[in-house]
Amino acid sequence: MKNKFLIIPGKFALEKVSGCDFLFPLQGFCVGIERTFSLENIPDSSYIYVNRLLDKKGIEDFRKLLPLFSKKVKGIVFEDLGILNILKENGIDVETCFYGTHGVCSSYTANSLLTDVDTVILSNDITKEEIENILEKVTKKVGLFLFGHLPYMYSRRTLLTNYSKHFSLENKKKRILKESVSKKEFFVVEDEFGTMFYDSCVFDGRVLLDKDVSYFVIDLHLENILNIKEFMEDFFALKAYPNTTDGFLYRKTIYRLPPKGGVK
Amino acid sequence: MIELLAPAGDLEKLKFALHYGADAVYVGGQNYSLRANAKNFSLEDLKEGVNYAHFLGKRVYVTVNIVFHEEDVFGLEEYLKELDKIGVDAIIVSDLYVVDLAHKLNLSLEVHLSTQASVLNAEAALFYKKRGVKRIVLAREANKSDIKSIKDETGLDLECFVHGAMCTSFSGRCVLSNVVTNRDANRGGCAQVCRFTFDTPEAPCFSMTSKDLNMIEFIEEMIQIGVNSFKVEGRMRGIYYIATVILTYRRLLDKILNHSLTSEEKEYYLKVLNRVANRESTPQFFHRFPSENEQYFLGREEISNQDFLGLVLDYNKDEKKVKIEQRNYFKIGDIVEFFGPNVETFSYKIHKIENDLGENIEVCNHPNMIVYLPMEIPLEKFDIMRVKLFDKDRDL
Repeated sequence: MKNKFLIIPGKFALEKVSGCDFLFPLQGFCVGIERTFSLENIPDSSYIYVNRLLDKKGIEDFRKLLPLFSKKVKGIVFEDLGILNILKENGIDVETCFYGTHGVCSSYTANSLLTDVDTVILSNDITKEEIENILEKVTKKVGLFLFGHLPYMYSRRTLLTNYSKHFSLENKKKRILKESVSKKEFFVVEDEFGTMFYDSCVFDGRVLLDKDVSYFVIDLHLENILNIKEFMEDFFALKAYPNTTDGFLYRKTIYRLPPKGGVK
Repeated sequence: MIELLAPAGDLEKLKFALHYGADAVYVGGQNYSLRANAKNFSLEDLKEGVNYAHFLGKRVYVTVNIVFHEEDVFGLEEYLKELDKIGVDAIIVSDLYVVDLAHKLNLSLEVHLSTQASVLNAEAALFYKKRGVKRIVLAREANKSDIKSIKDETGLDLECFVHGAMCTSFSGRCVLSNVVTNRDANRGGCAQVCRFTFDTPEAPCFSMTSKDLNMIEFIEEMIQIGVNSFKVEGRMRGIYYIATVILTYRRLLDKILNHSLTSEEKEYYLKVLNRVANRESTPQFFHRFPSENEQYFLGREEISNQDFLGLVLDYNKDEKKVKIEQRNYFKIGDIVEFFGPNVETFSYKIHKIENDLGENIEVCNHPNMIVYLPMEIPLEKFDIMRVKLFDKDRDL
């Protein structure tokens, strides 16, 4: 396998899978992910994941972890560019991967970022054609989100708690919500750092497996997978997985509405 | 430098915003702006708007804040050069490529980082500062402590939203619109799915509509911790809203800066702002973490405001008549108010209305019809006639 796979763990035991590394969601620095890990509790030279946008306190807390980085961290996938600044200012040499979720939709943006980071994960709301086009033009290898529930919205608010309080309901931190008109379903997960909306279907991007990338991200944190080795065997054998979607791979979005009365 | 920054969806709104006290306006061009379906500005409009603003000693910022896809980059370089040539004072961008391109092209205009980049901490601000960003429009989620530390540690110009609609998500961190309606939120097509309702297995439907932002209570503190620019949201809003909100913040800021603001006046300003809004408003994240009280739970709860009665087009000082373009129904006997940038707000009882043929009429009920009212107090173009809001006249 020429590519590197980063697996965000689910509930399964963390058995080593050939060609893959775990991407450990860092405790206190992730939102909408139930299983997180402290730096002390992950193996040395691991990949860690920070998907929160950090406020002042978040940055202060992050700085406290820096003494452990040289031993514990091989690479970091992050959303907040403040992290990059801290790492550079402190001369910490780890693989840096910016994952802006919705912010890297062109080779131009990717290349701008790649002057400062080792790699970026492309946005998950672009088409396969766009991905292929970008891969041809980037100055360094970039990564792709390959499998898992696509994150669609990140709010700082505790939206599920607010809803429960308002209607005096049991305070659940996970709910399935269905948009009333389109009937589109979302998994919604909340914690103290905010609320994430995910697609209720699993994005299956294995059609992209032949691409030459830095990392493929496989996000299993919402899946009930019991054995990671068996899952990955089936995964690479391209066995079908239930309830999947191809996301935006073949679905181009629009942003200008046609004129009233239709296009002439 | 303390700046009041107003939205302007078109040239007319730009003029109103500047006349009503904005120090600067932000506008969108025909491309690359997050209000893709607004009227927006052609390059000709921009040229006129910039000349108009500069003549008044004010500034114009142009939003170039979409997340660029490969196909959107076509024409961007020429567009930025043209904006620079026109004399636009700054571009507001979120995509790092545009930051880099503006500097590669050695443009004179400033580069401001959009709230779409969701900067919440000083380290992220420093990252962008090193790339040449002059000012940062902070995430609306930034609280007082975040803002202060960003100012103290970076020295950057800071722009904060103080009034108007809020996204439920961090700006730029949402593609619900893309998923549900296929309209790309981060390229200006947002369908505001966060204002839709969602079914749950339990009875009441879920909704997450945020109430609006209103920082009137904390403007003084924001000045103290170093906020430079006070930004009002609303490029899609009408001239009445723009005029009312901008004039209110103008007078509030001026009174704060010359230490003459009373609590009574602040209360009055708050009432005026609440009246013109179509949703309730709160300070949201600045002083505490927002709870269920900062949201709506039954979908859209929006009120149509019909206070805007007419627009002053001209004043004839010889005949002592004011020429008005109607915006909402009014009639003989109504008690109304006039307000404007250069006139103290005053009440007025309508006792005579003339149409454009010089005939006396009882009611003014046709949209945009031209009428004349007898008027002793000289008024000016851009002044506004509205429903009398409150019993007590005040300086607004």
